Amino acid sequence: MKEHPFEWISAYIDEELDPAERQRMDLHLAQCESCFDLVTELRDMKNEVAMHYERIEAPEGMEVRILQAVEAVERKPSTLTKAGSLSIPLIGLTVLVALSFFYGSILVKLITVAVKFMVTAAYVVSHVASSIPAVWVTALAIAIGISLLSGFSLRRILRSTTQ
Amino acid sequence: MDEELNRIIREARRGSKDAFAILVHRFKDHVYRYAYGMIGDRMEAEDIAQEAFLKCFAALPRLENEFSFVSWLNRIVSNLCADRLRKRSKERLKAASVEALDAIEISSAQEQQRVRNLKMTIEEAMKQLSLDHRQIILLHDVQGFRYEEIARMLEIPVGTVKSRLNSARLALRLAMRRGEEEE
Repeated sequence: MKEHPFEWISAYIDEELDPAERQRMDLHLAQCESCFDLVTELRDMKNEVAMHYERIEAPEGMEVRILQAVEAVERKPSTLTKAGSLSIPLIGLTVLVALSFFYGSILVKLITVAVKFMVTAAYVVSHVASSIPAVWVTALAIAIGISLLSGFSLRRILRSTTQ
Repeated sequence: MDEELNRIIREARRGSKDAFAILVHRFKDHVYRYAYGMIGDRMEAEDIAQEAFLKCFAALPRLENEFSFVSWLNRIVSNLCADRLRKRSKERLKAASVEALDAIEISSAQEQQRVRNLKMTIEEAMKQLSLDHRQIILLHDVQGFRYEEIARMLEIPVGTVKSRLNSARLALRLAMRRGEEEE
């Protein structure tokens, strides 16, 4: 080994070289003082780093705080409390009743117009689709594409949050 | 990993809080140390450690086998640290954009002076490294994972672990030397 094997030095220190590589490295180190010094220096630095961080311990009370937080999460109902699960639909219903009481006539008119509009739109769309098949084939392909894409992205989001 | 630990992990997976408490006791330093090494701030490291154990408790029933527990736990902490660092760099960018240019110049000059006055410790040298380099040194030299385990954890080839750790150590050596020269 004539060139300095810098890329092997860390793996040599960590005993992660295979036997043949290790033997070649041993031979090189026996002849090359600068590589030998680098190995010694990096090995000392590795031990120094390990010793430095080994002294760092979790703060006092952290364990208790973690277990308390777990308890608090456990106690907290997963979705809504019983009162909450009843009160939300009740509030919604009250708002609906109030709205229909005050704006009942306007709402009926709006709904009638919307229904008429939707019926006309459905008629036009079906007419266009039956006369030009390319339109509905394209629309179908786009719809399938969007559904697949959203499915994959949802799966990815769910997977990354569980990790 | 000893059989006793595997039994505890199995019990914790079934929802035993006592078993989970033993896991917290056993791995709290391991988790905190990594978070502190990556973030460099004790308060934030504790926050992350707490969040990691909460996530661990919630997701434990879904852990496929108890043998991979330690690397799985480390992956949770690692992801949380990465999120925190991303958030931090965004905040820094935002802050920098609202500050006037002269103010930035003054603060950077003060920062340089501060760095010159301080002894470059291991932690300061670690802060000079890229996130990948810092992470791989912590995973190998501090957490004690082997190359193959790191490769699985980071989803990179073993050869990349080998070369990344090597260049990380050379970069750390350089940062520490620079610190000594500036003293």
